[in-house]
Parts: sequence; C-alpha cells; structure tokens
Amino acid sequence: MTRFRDELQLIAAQAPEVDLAERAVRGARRWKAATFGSALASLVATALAATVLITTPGGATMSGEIANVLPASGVDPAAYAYYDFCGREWDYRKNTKTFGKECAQWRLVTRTGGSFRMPEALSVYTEQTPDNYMNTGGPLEISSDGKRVAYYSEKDQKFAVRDLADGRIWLTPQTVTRETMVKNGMVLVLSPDGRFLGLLGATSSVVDMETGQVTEIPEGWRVRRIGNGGSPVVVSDDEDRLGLFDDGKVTPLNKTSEDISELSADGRTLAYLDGEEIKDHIVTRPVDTVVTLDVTTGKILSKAKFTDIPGGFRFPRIGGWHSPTEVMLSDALRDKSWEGKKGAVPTLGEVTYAIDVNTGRIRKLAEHTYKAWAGDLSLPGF
Amino acid sequence: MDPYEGFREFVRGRQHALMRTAYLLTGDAQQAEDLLQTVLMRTARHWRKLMKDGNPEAYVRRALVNEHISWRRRRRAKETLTAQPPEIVHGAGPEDVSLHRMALQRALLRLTPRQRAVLVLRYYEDRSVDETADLLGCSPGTVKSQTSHALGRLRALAPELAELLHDVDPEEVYR
Repeated sequence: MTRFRDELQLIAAQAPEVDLAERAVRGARRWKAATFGSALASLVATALAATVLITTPGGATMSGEIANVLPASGVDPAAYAYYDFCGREWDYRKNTKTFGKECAQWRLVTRTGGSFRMPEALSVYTEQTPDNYMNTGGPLEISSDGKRVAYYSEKDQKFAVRDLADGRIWLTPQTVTRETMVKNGMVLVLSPDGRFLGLLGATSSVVDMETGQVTEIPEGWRVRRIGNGGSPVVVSDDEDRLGLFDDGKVTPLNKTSEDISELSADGRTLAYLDGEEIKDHIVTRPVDTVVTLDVTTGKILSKAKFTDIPGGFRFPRIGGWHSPTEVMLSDALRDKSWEGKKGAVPTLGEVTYAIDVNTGRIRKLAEHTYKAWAGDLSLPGF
Repeated sequence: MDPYEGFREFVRGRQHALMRTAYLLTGDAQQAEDLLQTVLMRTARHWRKLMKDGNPEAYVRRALVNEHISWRRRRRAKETLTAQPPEIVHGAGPEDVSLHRMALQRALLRLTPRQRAVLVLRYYEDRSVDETADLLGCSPGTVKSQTSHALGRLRALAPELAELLHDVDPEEVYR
C-alpha cells in the first residue's frame, strides 16, 4: 500500500453517511417527471455555459504558438503570466529536456490583451532529474499593480525586477546559480509596488531593488508579505505563526495562518481566511470567514462570514487588495468541457474573486486561462 | 409483487462503499450524494432485470463512473449553485499530513472526470487495468495512457505532493 493509496482511502473516509434507499425508490417512481426536469435543466445549463465562454475575460490562449518577445519598454500592466510546456504532454521521466524552446518560455499577458514571451526569465528546468521533478521551473511574480515583474535571470544568475512601462531592470546583489535553482528552487515575494523583493530559500531576505540594500530575515523566519516602501514586513515560521519584522527583530503576532493577503494601502492591514474547524485530526468545516488584522498592534479589526458564494468556489487563495474594502481571492479553474472531444486540450487557469472584508460578500472577477496539459500560472498580488 | 424487493437491502448494504467512491469522484459531499442517488434511482427502475442478471453492484459501479463522466452530468454540475461552500473535509493530524491531503484534494479536483475516475478505480479500488477498462468502457491501452496523464498532471499541478507520489510506481500503470 503506497502513501498515495492511503491518502485516497482517508479522503474517501470523509464521505458523509447517507441513507438513499427510500429516496431512490421514490425517485424511480417519479422517473418520468424527473427525466423531463433533467432534460430542461440540461438545456438551460448548456446555454449558460456558452454565455460564460463568450464573456470570460482573458479567454483561453492557444498553446504552442511562439509569441513576440516582450518589448524593451511601453508594455501595459500584466494581467497574468504562464508557461505551458508548449501545449504538449509532459512526461517528467522522458521529455523534460525537450522543453528548452521559445514556446515553453514564460509568457506575459497584459490587461489590454497583449501576449509576450520573456526569454530572459528562466522557465522549464530542462535538466531537471526525475528524482526532483516537482521543481519544474523558475518562479515569476507580478506586483499587484501589474507594473513590475520579478523573475530569475539566467544570464545574470540573479533575480531581476523589471518595470514594464519604462523597461528598467534591477538585479539582486545576491548570485544564485542555475544549478541551485534546479536543485532547490526559490520562492519570490514582491511588495505591491514591486520595489521590494523577498527571497525564500535556505535563508530569507528582503531586497530594495532600487538601492540594492539587502535585509536578512532572522533564522527560523521567512518573509511572507512586504508593504510599500519596504515596511512593514510580515514573516512566519515553520508552523505558520505570523510575526512582524522590524529593526532586525521579529515580534510574534499570536496569529497562525498559512495564507495571508498583501498589506493594504494603509500599510498595516492584512486579511486572512478563517473558520476552519478540526475534530479528531479531521477538518470538519472549511474556511468560511474573512478576518482583517492590524499588524502593527496585532488586533483583529473585522470578521465577516462568507455570503453570496459563487458556484464552483471551493479552495481559495488570498492575494492583493482590489479596493479599500475588498481583497482578491483565487481558485483553480475546473474545466471539464474538453473531455471526450478528440484532439481537445484542457483549459487550465485560475478564477479570481473579490471578497468584501466588512460584509463577507464574494463576487467573481475574472478567469485567466491557457490551453495546456501542464504548466504554471502567476497572478498579480498572489 | 414489490418491484423493488431486495433493492433496499442491497442499497443499505453497499451504499457507504459506493458513497466513498462517489465522493472521491466528485470531491464534494453534496455532488457525491446527488450522483449516487441518480444512479440508484436508475438502478431501482431496472432492479428486477438486474437481479435476474445476478450482479447489480457491477451495474451500479459502472453507472456511477460513467454518469460522473457523461456530458450531461458535467453540464449540470457546472450549474450547481450553493448557499454554503461545499463541505470538503480536509484530513489533519500532523501538519504536513494535513497539508498533503488538502493539496491532493485540490489537485484531484483539477483533473478531468475521466482522469479522476481512472485514479480512483486503479488506486482506491485497486482494480486491474482490464477491470478499469471494462468499467469505463474503453481499451486497456486507454486506461494506461489516462493513468499516466492523470499522474503527470497531479505532479505538475501539485508540486508539494512529490513525496506522497514518490512511491507510486510509475511502471505500475502498465500492470
């Protein structure tokens, strides 16, 4: 029995107990009416699905095409970025080395619909070994205003932040070899304005990209969010306990969260999702509440239960602020429409939502998609 | 004669096991219940004939998987609106175990229905390639390729599952 099998058994064991015998018999007796109702529902659903496809912002991008190189300057803010293994099927045991191609590079999609590849940003690690196949490619992060992009510059062996409008590029003082990236990987965190870059590897640091000043985070802590102007810096430890890093030391916030929002424009408020309940080592209720926290005082500012939950909303991640009262959430897109169609390719991507931190109201914002069998997608502020 | 004679006993004896499979297929308690109820209603309609054939459970399992995959079902699932978030129950225990299980649940939901069905049949129900092919109404070759695709997508979609998937023998898919 493998751990994978064990986990499937444990997930299956979470299925609620039901008694369907009488309901099934009653349903069978009403079969004709039920069949008529289902057919009607099916027609309505098909029509609505077609509407969604037409109105989806940032509709699915065809894979395998070679986009133009990102212009030196004058690029509109980014909506998202992705790489897609050229739209081909990827087998980590056999063909990873074949993706050193232009079509497998990171591709930036702007809010105005432009699509550009970034040859300078390392994407698929073509030399990756099967033993380390989960570390598939170099990271790319987009600032929440969409104006700056952070990536690993292979030619410089450093991390870079690029301003899309004026084309300026800043490099980190620290050098990291491609070999280290392939072996260990690295996580990047950008401040909302894209000036400060957090690095999470064996150690953690914050770099002011415009001055080159590096601030090391104390051992045992890692940078999670950075405010505009480089302060405050919210950190966490291995158990997701949050802390405020300032003047060389960490002050614990007595809160634990594995996923927190960016700092709001006031520079002191962050949001996280709460409400999960655990009994006998099983989570019996998923997150259902959005909480805001003043990181300078550690005080809870607001709590609101989710309302108006859109269909399909399941496992949200939390990102940047959409407005003074709304924070962005993101969830994986679940595409089923390609199944059964010969030659069809799945649509991968993310759905974004805005949640009002005062009312808990959730509304859908957009779908960001690409056609591929595998890949990675980066959204501003997440 | 009651046309449903023996049906209730059959359902009460097997519904928990069937519900677990339905839950893995859909990833959602409400949808799993809806799926199983739909299949059991159809089973009830044909109960007398299925009893004569002698293996109603095989019919139910095949119907469960195929109904889950079918076009109409998928379209209806897209339409489901809920007032509350689906009651996805995450495993916990040691921190990493909990996170692995949550990651696996997320990743499974990002697979196609057929890919999910292949993994559930092969690795949860421990069925052979031939049995899985029979249940899905496809060739053993298709089962092998779908299994490879599904495992590959899990690995790509959830890098944090590296350790969990490490001991899934890739060659096992060709068994």
